Amino acid sequence: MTTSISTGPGRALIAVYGLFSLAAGSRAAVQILTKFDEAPLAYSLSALAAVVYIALTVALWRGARTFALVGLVIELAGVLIIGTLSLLDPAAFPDETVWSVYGKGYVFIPLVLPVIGLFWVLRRRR
Amino acid sequence: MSAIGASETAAGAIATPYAVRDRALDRLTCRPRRHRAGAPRKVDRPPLGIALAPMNTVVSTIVIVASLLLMLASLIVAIRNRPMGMVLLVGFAVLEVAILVQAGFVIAAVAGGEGPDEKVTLFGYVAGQVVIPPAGVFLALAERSRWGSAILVVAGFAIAVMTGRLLQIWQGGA
Repeated sequence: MTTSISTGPGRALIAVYGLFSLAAGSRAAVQILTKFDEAPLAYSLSALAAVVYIALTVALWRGARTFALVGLVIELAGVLIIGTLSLLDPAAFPDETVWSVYGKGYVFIPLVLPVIGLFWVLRRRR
Repeated sequence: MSAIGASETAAGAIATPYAVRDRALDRLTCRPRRHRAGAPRKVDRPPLGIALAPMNTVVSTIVIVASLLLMLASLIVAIRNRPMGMVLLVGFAVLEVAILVQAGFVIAAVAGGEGPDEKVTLFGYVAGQVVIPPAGVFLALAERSRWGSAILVVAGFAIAVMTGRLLQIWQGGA
């Protein structure tokens, strides 16, 4: 139990991921339910981000290390890829997603969060 | 009454007998004078939402200030390496009450025909705000260390940001 990733700083991480699940999840739900036709790609990616955040919240909560690691890698890749795409091809992203411009709308927390998460989960492996 | 009227007449150059009488009446009723005697009285009142809209901003300001103060207090507690104490617990309970009052004003104003077109987003923010303090306190009770207090820093910050966004959404469509 001493090596659990779900206590101590991990619990604060759960809180942040829970918050982002709420933010990304409700944003994606509103976008997809009310105006999916306007920007299908951006809104699908919004939904993907929401799923990743929810999965990571659950993984950290349950202390599922491998699951959390996979989720964190997907999250980091998602922020970097979608952040770059949104800069290279703004036309494909007429509306904001959580990961647009590396999470600029969320004071770049989406970019920092997976790094902190990876650091935490890997550190606790020892 | 006549004494007040006389002094008003002496001071005001444009005072007419009607104005003098109305002003004297206003002193008695302590109400701002809206209608000249004899002028047709307007019967249509603004809808409830317009009357409540300024109040909504006042409550939101209180929520933002309270959440920022609680964020600061939680940060100090976390830095001092303490778990959440009674002060923070009560503080977040008070914040929750303020958020519920704000939610009541938003619902009342929308029911009165006010508010932006993006009602879904608006209520999404209201619902999210209502959930965050209890969830944060629940986690902080489970985590009896400085990291429990750190959770409350996140919760306080989130409430402040979300209330700011709520005001933006509100004013954007009002």
